[in-house]
Amino acid sequence: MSMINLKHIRYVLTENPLTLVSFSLFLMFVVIAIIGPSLVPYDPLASETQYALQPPSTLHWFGTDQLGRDIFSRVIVATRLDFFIALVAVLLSFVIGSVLGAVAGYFGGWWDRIVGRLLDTIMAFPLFVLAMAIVAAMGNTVENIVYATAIINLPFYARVARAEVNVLRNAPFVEAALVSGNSHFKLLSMQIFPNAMPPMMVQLSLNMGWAILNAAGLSFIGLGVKPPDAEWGIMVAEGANYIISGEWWVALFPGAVLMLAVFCFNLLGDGLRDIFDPRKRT
Amino acid sequence: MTIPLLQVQDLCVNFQTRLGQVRALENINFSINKGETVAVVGESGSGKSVTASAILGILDKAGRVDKGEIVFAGMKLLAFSQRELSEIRGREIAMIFQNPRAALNPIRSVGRQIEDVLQTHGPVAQGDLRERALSALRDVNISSPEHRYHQYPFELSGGMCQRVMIAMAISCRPSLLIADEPTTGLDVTTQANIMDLIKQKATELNMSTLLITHDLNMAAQYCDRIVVMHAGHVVESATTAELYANPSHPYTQRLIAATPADHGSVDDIAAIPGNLPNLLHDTPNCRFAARCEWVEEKCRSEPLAYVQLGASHEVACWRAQYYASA
Amino acid sequence: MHLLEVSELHKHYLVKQHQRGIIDSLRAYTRTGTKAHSYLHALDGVSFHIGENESVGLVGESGCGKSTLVRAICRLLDITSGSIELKGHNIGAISANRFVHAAERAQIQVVFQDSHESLNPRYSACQCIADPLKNLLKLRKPVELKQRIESLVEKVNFPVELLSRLPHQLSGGQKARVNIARAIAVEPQLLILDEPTSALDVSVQALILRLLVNLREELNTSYLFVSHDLNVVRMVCDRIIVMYMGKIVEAGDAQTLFYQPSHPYTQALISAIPSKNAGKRIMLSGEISSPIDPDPNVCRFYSRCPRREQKCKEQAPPLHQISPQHSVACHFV
Repeated sequence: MSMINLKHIRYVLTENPLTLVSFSLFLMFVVIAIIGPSLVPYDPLASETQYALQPPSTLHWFGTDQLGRDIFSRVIVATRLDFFIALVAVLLSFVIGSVLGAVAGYFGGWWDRIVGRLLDTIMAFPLFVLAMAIVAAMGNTVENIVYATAIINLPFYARVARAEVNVLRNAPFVEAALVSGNSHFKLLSMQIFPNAMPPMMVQLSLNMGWAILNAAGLSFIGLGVKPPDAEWGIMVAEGANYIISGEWWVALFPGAVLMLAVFCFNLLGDGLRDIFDPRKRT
Repeated sequence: MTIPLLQVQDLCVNFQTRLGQVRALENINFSINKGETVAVVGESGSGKSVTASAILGILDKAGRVDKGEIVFAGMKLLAFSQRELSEIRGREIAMIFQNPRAALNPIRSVGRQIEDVLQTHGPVAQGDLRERALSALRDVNISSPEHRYHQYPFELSGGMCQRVMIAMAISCRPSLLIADEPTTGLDVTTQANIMDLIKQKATELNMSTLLITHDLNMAAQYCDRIVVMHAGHVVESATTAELYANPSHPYTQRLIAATPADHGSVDDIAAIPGNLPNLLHDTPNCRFAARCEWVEEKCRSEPLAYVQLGASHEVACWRAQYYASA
Repeated sequence: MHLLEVSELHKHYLVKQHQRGIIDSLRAYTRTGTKAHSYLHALDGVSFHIGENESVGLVGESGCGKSTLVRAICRLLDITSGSIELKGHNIGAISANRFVHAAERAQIQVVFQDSHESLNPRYSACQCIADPLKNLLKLRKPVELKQRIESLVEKVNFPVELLSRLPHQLSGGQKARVNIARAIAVEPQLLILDEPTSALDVSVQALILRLLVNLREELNTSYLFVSHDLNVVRMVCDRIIVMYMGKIVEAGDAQTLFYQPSHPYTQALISAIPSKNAGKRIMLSGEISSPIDPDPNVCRFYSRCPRREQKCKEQAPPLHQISPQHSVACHFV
């Protein structure tokens, strides 16, 4: 289908330095998420209260929190959890949302109306409040955080997919494909959808950032991951209590890493779109 | 001898691109007299639109005039600042474009757009504006101008939009009208109507016209002189009659042979072999050499030679001196 | 039996209430006494045929219905009434949605107008040409496909080494060839060409036209050649059909129609062709009549016809034969 060759990827990476930075950062996070937890110096759950609230030192690079746990280890381990939540939630919402949107955009009529009303229902709520409500109702497990995040992000994909497919549906190459014997299903999946992807690539990446923020936010207000699990948001929440008393490292380090991750995803989106857009290839 | 209204002398335009410098125009020479209609004919990539942009000073950011002179009514345009040029644009030299609907402001009624032009090059009394806009619409044979005044470009047909453009262009009675492919995409009868209108207005207002087109037949029917361009060079320029009687440049001959006419069969039209040369690596010799059946070593090594064949017939081919066209 | 037989083809579009102007609404009201629906008559009683191995040209200006006719024949849209018969099979009766699976799908192929927009920007030239082979001929084996594609591109003079390129990496002429290769891949009996050379430079146009003429002889296909360039149509086609506002106004042998046009519209059209030896132009004045709910008793060309008379307003002229191969829809011919 789409021919993504290495030469083009290399071109995209070198053309805009920010793309290279964001890709490298993303790679770094992925590596940390995969092998990090097995390399951490301390057990993230081991609480040694005699070492509580120690500032950053050579022993504890990010210091320790109120229960004496090494913040650095916890931040590393949290990477895996946060990325897992973000990835699964965004993939779920992408797949379901874009399929719904594509069907609504292609067939129109009742499909469009039903999907439209469904999306309107979701979008009628302030999205974070909706996530809160879903998690509060279903219980705060990691699974439910994933579902809640997926649901609130659904409308974005559905709308982008619907708009793109609606326009592409009338494109001359679609007519030509129909004459070449493509059924509607084949047309939608193999011809139209790949062309509708580039705008969604940016969305995907931005969403990953939002999903992490979402999970962090839920944890911050107590509706997210349950302690003692390490997750950036819950760590910031716990650390917030100690800022006033001067123990800034408890909240800062998880917060900074969280910010870096979101920043990375935001930049990534543009680079991904450039890779997937065949017109940028020379 | 009359002084031409517009004289383009040895014009060279370069474009700075990521892959290098493209010498888009090389030593372009032609002139337009008062009241004359001149066609610049060429295929895509010949540089005809770049020539028009250079005359009006609206070249792309990456383009630069390297050498040469453009003299309009005694004024050297290349020395003018953008502000001075904007005084001339619309008032002395007007331009109409290829896709008329796209060239008009989609959210402003056509009547208002004409008024905008009038006001820019004013002064026009407020009360008179509407009247003048209506008379401009009538001038281009638009029926029920009061009704059309309030309409938006999307409500008008392509031909109607082009008429509005022409109305805007001639509203300030310019001495030169540049028409860049004004009829591409329009129906045959609409094309003929628009070209007739341009010709009629040119005669009425004693206005010179520079018609840029890829359609040799149209140039032949409506223009007094034809300038043939290929890959950034002027290869031949002559009066229409002379060009058809005596096409001297191999490219001109090929172009005439390739253009479907109202006689002959499909075997009579011949393709022009080869492709446009890559203008990135350029040398000052003939750019048609690779595609020419009479090419010789001289053509590739020596700079382009211009031969004067008659009072107003110039060819960029050294062979022309010795061989009249077959 | 002709290859393609189109009889009394009608295609009417329902005009939504809010799209109707006041005049059209009033017109509908006065005619039927109720606020009836308005219909845009894109095609009104079109009848013609294309024989085996014949090249028929279709000319007409924007709004004449030729795009609608092309889409109706290749079954991209459903017709309101009438029949389209391909070798006796009424393909007009098969809905557009279901035609994809019909056996006749491979028999009618189209080369669309914009050769750039007709190719999927993410598909290489090879994949574009392979598409109908996979869908309609069910060729799956890579070796078979490769062989077939290579022989096709050879026929259309498309360099094999460019097969992996994407559309935006190909020149205009090359894209046109890919489109043609794709269309002839399944060996259709009828090839519809919608302005195949209008976006091409004159130098390339000649090549493509010669290619098309040679291909037709080689493949024994019939062509329906739609173009606005009457010179080209005259050169490439055996017969020409002229359409105006959804109806056929003249149909006949290409040379005769071009040099001795009978219908006033055809005469005006031909006189408008730019040419070095252009003769006196027939000017058409007047407004184009509305295609919405047109009066069936008035000739469609009445409002612009230089020869109109009272009779033309009372009875619409039918398409009648003035010689074995020539029909005209005008009272005065």
